Amino acid sequence: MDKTTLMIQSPELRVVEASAGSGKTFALAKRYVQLMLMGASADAQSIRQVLAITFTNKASFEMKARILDFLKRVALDLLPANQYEEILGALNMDRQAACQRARQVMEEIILNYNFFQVQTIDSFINALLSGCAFKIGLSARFKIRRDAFEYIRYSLDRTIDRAVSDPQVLGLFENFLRQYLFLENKTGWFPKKDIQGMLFALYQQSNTYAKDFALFPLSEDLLAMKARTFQKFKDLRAACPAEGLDKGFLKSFDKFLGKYHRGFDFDEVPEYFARPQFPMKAGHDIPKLLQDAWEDLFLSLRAVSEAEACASFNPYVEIFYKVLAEFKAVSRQDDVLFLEELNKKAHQLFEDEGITAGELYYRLATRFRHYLIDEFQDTSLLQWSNLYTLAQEALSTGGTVFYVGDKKQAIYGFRGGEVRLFDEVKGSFKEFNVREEILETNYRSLEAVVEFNNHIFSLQNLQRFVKEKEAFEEEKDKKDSVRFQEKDLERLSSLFAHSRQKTLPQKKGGRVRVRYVPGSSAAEREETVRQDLLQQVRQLRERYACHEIAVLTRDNQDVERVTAWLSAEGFPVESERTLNIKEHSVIRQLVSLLKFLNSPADNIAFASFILGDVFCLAAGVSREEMRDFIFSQRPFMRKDGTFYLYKAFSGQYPRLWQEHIEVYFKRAGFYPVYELAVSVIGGFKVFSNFEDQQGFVMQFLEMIKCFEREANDLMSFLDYYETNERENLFVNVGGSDSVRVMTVHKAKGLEFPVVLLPFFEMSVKVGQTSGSDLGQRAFIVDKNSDTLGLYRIKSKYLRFSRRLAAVRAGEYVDSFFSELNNAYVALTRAVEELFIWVPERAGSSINLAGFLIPEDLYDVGASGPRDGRVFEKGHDAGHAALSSPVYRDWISFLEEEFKDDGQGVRNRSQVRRGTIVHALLQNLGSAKGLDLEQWQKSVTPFLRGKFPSVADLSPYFMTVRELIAREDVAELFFVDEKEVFCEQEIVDRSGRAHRLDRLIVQGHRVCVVDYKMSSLQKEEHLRQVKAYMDLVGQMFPGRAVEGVILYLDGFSKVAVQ
Amino acid sequence: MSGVVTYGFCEPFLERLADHIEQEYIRKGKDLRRVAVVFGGKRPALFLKRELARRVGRQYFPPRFFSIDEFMARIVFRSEPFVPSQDMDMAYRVYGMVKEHAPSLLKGREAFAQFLPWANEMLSFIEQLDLELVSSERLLGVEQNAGLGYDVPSDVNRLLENIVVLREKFHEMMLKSGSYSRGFQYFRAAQLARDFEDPDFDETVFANFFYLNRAEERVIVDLYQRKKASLVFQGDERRWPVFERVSKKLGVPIREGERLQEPVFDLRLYSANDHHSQVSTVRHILEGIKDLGRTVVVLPDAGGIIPLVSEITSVAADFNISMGYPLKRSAVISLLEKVFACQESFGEHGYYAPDYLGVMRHPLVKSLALGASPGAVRLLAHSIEEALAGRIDTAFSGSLFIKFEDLHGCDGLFDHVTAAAQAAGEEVSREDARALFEQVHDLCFRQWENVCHCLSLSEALCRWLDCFVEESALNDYPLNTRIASRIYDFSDDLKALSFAGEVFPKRDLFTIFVSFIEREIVAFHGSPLKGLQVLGLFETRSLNFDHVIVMDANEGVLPRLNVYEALIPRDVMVGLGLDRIEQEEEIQRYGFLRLISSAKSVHLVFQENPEKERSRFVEELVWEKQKRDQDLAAVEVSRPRFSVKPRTGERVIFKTPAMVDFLKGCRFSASSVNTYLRDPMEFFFAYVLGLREREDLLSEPENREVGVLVHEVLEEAFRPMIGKAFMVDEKFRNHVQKIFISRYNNSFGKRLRADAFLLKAVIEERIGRLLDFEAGRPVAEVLHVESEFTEDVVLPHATVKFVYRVDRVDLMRDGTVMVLDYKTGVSDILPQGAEEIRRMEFTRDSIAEHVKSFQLPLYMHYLSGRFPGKPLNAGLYNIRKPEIKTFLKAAGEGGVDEYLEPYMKALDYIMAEIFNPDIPFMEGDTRTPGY
Repeated sequence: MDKTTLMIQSPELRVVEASAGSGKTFALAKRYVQLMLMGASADAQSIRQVLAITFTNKASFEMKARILDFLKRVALDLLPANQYEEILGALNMDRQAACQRARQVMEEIILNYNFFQVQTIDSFINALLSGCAFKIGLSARFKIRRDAFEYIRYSLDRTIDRAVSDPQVLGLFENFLRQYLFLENKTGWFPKKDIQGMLFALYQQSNTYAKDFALFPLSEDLLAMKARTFQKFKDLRAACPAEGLDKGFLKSFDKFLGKYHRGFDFDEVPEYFARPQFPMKAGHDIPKLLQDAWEDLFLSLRAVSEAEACASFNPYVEIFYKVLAEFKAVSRQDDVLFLEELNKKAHQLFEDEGITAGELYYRLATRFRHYLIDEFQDTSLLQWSNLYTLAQEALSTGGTVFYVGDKKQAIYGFRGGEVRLFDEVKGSFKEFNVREEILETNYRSLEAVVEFNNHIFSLQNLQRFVKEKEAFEEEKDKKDSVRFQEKDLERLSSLFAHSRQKTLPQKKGGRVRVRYVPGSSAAEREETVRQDLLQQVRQLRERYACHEIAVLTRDNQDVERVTAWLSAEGFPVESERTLNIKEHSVIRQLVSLLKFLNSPADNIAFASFILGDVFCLAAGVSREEMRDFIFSQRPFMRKDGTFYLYKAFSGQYPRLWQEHIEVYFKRAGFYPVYELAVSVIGGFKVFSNFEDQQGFVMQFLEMIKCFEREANDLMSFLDYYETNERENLFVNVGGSDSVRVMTVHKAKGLEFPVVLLPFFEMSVKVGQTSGSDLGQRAFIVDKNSDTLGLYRIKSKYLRFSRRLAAVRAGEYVDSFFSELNNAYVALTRAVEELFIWVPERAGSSINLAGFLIPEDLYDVGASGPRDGRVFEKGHDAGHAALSSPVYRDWISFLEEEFKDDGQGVRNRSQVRRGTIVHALLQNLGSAKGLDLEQWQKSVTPFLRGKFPSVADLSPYFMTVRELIAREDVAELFFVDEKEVFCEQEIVDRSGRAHRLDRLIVQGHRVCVVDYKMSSLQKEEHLRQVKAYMDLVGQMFPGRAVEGVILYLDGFSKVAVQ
Repeated sequence: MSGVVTYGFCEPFLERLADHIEQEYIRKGKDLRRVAVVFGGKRPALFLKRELARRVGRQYFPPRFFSIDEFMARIVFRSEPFVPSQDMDMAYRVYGMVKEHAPSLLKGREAFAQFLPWANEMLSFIEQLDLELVSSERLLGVEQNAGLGYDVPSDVNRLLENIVVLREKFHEMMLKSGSYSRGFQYFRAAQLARDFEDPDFDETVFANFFYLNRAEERVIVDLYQRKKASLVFQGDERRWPVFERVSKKLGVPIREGERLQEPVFDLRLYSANDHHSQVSTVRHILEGIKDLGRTVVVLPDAGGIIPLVSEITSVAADFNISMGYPLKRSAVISLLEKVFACQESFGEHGYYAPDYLGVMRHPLVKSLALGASPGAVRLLAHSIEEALAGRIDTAFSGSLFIKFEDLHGCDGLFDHVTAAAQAAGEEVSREDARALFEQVHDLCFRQWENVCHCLSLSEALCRWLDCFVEESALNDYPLNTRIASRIYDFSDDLKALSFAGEVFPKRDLFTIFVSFIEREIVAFHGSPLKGLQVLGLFETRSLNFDHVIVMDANEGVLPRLNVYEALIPRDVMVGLGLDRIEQEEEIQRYGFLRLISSAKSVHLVFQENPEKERSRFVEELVWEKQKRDQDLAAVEVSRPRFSVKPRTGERVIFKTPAMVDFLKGCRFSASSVNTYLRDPMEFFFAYVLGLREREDLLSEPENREVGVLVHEVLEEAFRPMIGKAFMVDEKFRNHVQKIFISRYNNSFGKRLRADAFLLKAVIEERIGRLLDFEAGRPVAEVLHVESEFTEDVVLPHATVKFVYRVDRVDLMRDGTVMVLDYKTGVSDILPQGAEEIRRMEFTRDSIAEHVKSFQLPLYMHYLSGRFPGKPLNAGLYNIRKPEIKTFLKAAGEGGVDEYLEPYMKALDYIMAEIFNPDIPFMEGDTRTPGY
């Protein structure tokens, strides 16, 4: 690319296509740095004008680090020569000037870090919404939450509750039930669960597209429509001639009619009815009336199929809007906004509130002139519509927009990612100097891997792939197969036009091996893959460390399966399966104990705990003894549930009970869960007994800490633990030498020296799933109009409705490309060696991946010596192992902190009275010549401020008046003003401060006065005053020191000797 | 001491200050009591007193210490006594003013509870204006920002106009009522400072201030100019632009010397991957420090305090904490939340049973020592739980909503308490138990029903707390006591509110309480000083330590900034000189760098994971070092990690001879063998130990329970048909319908909320379809319904006693005897064919995969003995569809015994394994949770 192309124009829209491993992050960081360095002449505060948007937090952190690294290298003159040229060449800037400017920029970033804006789209939108909260009816400090499912569930419950009193709401549910039982023929017992799942899916869709759902208008009730059509079947059957009918047709027709009385299940309609002609035997004419009826029935079936497909979500949509209203009310009450609603809410800001770019900039206190967007292929229409106004404003005022991505890696279509934006945006901003760049060099992989992928994703191969796939489908007479149209082939060309990559000269070598796995049963294929994969890993271990090997799978089930295989062979594995604390034996035992503590009647939890290592090791008993003990109780296990195992245990093992369980038994519920868990872990010496399991235990504590943000009682924690399937479940073992097993989605953006793909499969699944139908394709969303259309398309419908067939075909093609992109991501993660197993079938259908990879590519390159290429040589550098703590009761370390609390709260009214009287006396110096009325008046405001809840202060004043009126205390109050010190602080030689209520210093004597309300703790009072007297005695040597305690309840004076 | 003193940034501030005090006062024999020292916070005074004691070498009268808030209040109070106003009161007043003067601001948030967060925002903005002495004119004159190139949005201008009015009214109100906000105290102090004379002190020392707001600045400059104040700064205006403004006002340079000082600490960085690896890292660092008394652990995020102190007990014998503990974390609050939840779901049908039980089951309630017997409340709570969960049969068992009368009138409940007490060696009569129930109900439920304003909420809180403080084990955890004390204070505050008697919906009152809880903390005093110091960043102001460990050195925490301005656009704030985000960052940067600059070693620990990045302050230090060394590798980062050896750690239980004997004597069922197939550990618990999950009517119903209901209905329906002609007519249908309605109402009808009708419709329809299906089945006669059969199955390894609970046996019109097992679950577990079984590998896993369930083979085996020579079949009857899947494709095909042979062989294999003393019970792949 020549220099002028590299230079940044004003305005400019720069689009960078970056295939896997071609330096996408580098390109984005480079652009940022160039903008900064250019800023020298333009603006001193250039970082404020740039917003870089990434897909994930992790990516934004990496991007920041990369930018800082570049800037530092420029500033310290440490950049390699080729990168100097790449970064500075386009700027016409010499090294010295760049160095100086880079230092300036670094200072600017360090001191204005808030404006170093490299962030996710969600955090940017959050910033917008937070700044506009007042405007769009949010609260001032709304909280962002991640998972809305519980709120949906609760809102549904509230809506159902309303059904009791609101006939309209009841009607919605009755309508739903008809649908559920008679049209969908669902087999679940609990329709509420199906509604929940569907509502959650609708909620996600409405947030993804910020559109309303369309209700399909029905001209007549669907059941009636089906009944009418069924009658047509019957009429047709009645009109059928006795002779000349196709036998097969007749048999299936009669079977169909015999199965139903009124309505029918569309799936059961015999295929014959999709034929254009009435099925007569050859040589027999079709009576016209019969053919007419036949065609009429076809039209009816088409109408029914379309009505079923389009209207089957009507009841759900109607309930959804009712539930959504509740949902909004509850969220508002709790001051919550869900993460996935952010973009929809921001859309409202632009659409409904008409907020301008100007106001937004005021809210953010900055004006962006340059936008950089990463992973643009995964940006959704909604996200883009929220950025559009700002991008357009930037471009039309001379700013720039830069986006980078790889259309071939668009695998987030299910979250609304729209790959077509990649090209469309270029078109919509074509007047702003659109520049396109294609990064062609692969910096990641060795030649063999790059070349393999070049072949696989060449247009020639992809076109062959599509052809062979379609030929196969035709041969097998696949009824619901979809043939590629011209536009689909164009899409294929457009997506993969730039897939060919160059290899760096120094990246010779590498290997790709493919093995096709035939087999009629899944178990058979799986066994073949298992044996072969294990063999391969054994061989690889001779040349590679475990952490250099990654196994990538399609889904989490496969992650579990492969993890089990590798673990059984003794390979260390890092995957969600091995690192899930819920699968860990020590954690399960701890949870058993917590369950028991929460509900002592839970005999299973108690038995489970005392049979575990945690208890047996700490208590010094054998598992066998515990086993025998529980077994011995068997005769007492009564069905009525009144036998409590723990009671039997405490009776038989009183010492074990007292020493090891009773303390927690007493604490449960009084201690927050975290403290309880820590005390359990400390008490049972979990760290020392399970030294190498420290990470799991710590992760468990991390989970509790996370839980405590929401609640703190044990019962809630156990519920949270049971249902938690995501948060803080997995231990981080960064630095361990283990084989990585993960899904392809998780591996996006990562690379590994060796990659194994044990189930390299492609199968096109049409439609999306709802919460309750996981695994089943439940619906298709048509998002191309103003409202979202929902379809449930059964393959039988396609025989009758072209419209539905077209809808499905569109979805099929999208899904096909998603599969292809997924394959691209999977095949491009390897640096040196790639091993692929292609099973014959993917689930119940043929594995399309078999067509993708031609046999001549089954063995490319060779496993060779690693030529000194040692990956992550310093893999363990800096990974210091942390030793285990010994947990002790930290409260006991702070005894002094809490020593008076118990009494204080128990004798609250007395303490309070004492405090008020003390406060009064604190303001009473000498009573000599004191106008008490005036004094009271002057002190009152002070007391009011200190004790605002005390309505009547007069009793306290009365107490003081009565006190000073007593003859026996006159010498303490009727002294010279200068001789008395109220609330006098004395610091002892250790630096500890003591506050004396009253200190009287006269020529020959010093008197310490302490006020107490009651004499209940007289000994303690005496000790305290004596200590004060000691202090004072040393401060006033040679003077007589006296001590007096004045008990204010009952007025008594105690002289302290 | 001269008027303005500046210490070097790398010097220990308090030691230098003590030097001065020693030199200027102590050595000259002056009375320290005549000196006032004002710090930004309270903690430095503790350290200064200790330092002075060290120098004096004996006890002494210290100077008087003030925080700046106290000092400003003192100035105002001397001239015009006032009462500090409560946050909630001020919010309500603002709400009232908005209603009157700017009602448009209430749109969509009309109720006080809804408006509360915005009232707080407005108060916060007004406070900013007061602290910075921003005039109304300036507020109205905010114009275009050239940098942005746009005018101030018109609705923002309107909002500012409203704020001007509100602020003026607010000030008027405060002057009139004598109740001042903090901002207004500062505002007034700035106005009154000129005339302020303090007879108690000869001099006031303002120590270690950095950013001064305009009100502070006016007060301090005024006192300084009247020679009433000395100022001690640390740092240099050449480094810290904040000092420039003060320096200009004072007319004195703030410089630490000719050249700026450079700190020389040993910097160590630690990247942890989560909170717990952070705290373990801190412990690890502490293990390497000898003098923990000269060490501080700074915790910018108070949320991490408990994990940290739990960890450092390993290494520190003494420590102080000076931070807050969130109120929300206590048992008292968790119970209160449950009490409120109970009130919110309370309605005309009474209390929602799970919520009611949530309160009764709470350990604080159970520990109440009311009545004659100390454990009586526990027994009462337990009995109510057992009754509601359906484990004791009472009139209200399984009810979804309950009323006081339901429980109060239930003798059975109180008799259960009496019996349980007796078993525990205590004596509680039925009437005692009833009286106890009244007491607890009144305390935790009834008294809350009538809460309608802050006054009654306050009373309820006090009564409630009084009881728990006096009669429960609450004080066993000291923090609970402190939290209780804080709630008492809050209830006092509620009583003192100006709107205490105003009626609100109960939910709003709870919202007010919750908003208080959310942000409230109880403080650790952190005194007397001893050992290691664990402090928040602000608590380190003016302090210095040899070893500084900072945790959570992450973005978002260090510095902790509220980066969003929800009410007034941020740029407008900047235009008004209220650039508080930048100021706040600078203040925290100053505090952080000041603390570490005098240290010998500095350890910064942060989290790095997909959600967290290290602090900008860390970046700053790293960059400084890299610049100095011209080396990007100048600072090494340690990455401490826990020891993790992934292992599955399956539990193994060995059999004893007694167990084997027991097993050999047992009667097995198909489902017990199936349990073993799935998970031997569950089999061990359930069948060897006799421990099974208990039913709980309070939980959401599950498939299993629908199954029970359907079985019961079908049993009651078909039993009378035994021995009669099989006939499914209209009469029979109506009969079944009645049975269903009655059974449903007695089970789910009582338990489910309003959604009962959904389940009812579904079951009713399915039963209807089942009857349709039955009508079409060629049944000649029903032979058995829900019958129990026993059989000794002779297997090669042993003879095993089996018991079968058979759902139904039909004699079909073709003479076949068909045994049916009703299935209401999702999966039908039909065994694979005999050929597959013959071919399979004989292991438990393989048998589990191929045979799936021994139910049908065992039924067939039984039938072949019971009905010799007859064609036999067995089927799984899917009630959901309905359909029957049969074991044999067609009854009577070949000899049944021959067909069953591989199944029986598999059964023999499993039974042999069960009886084998050398094969322990292990956890299966599909481990059952809970065992």
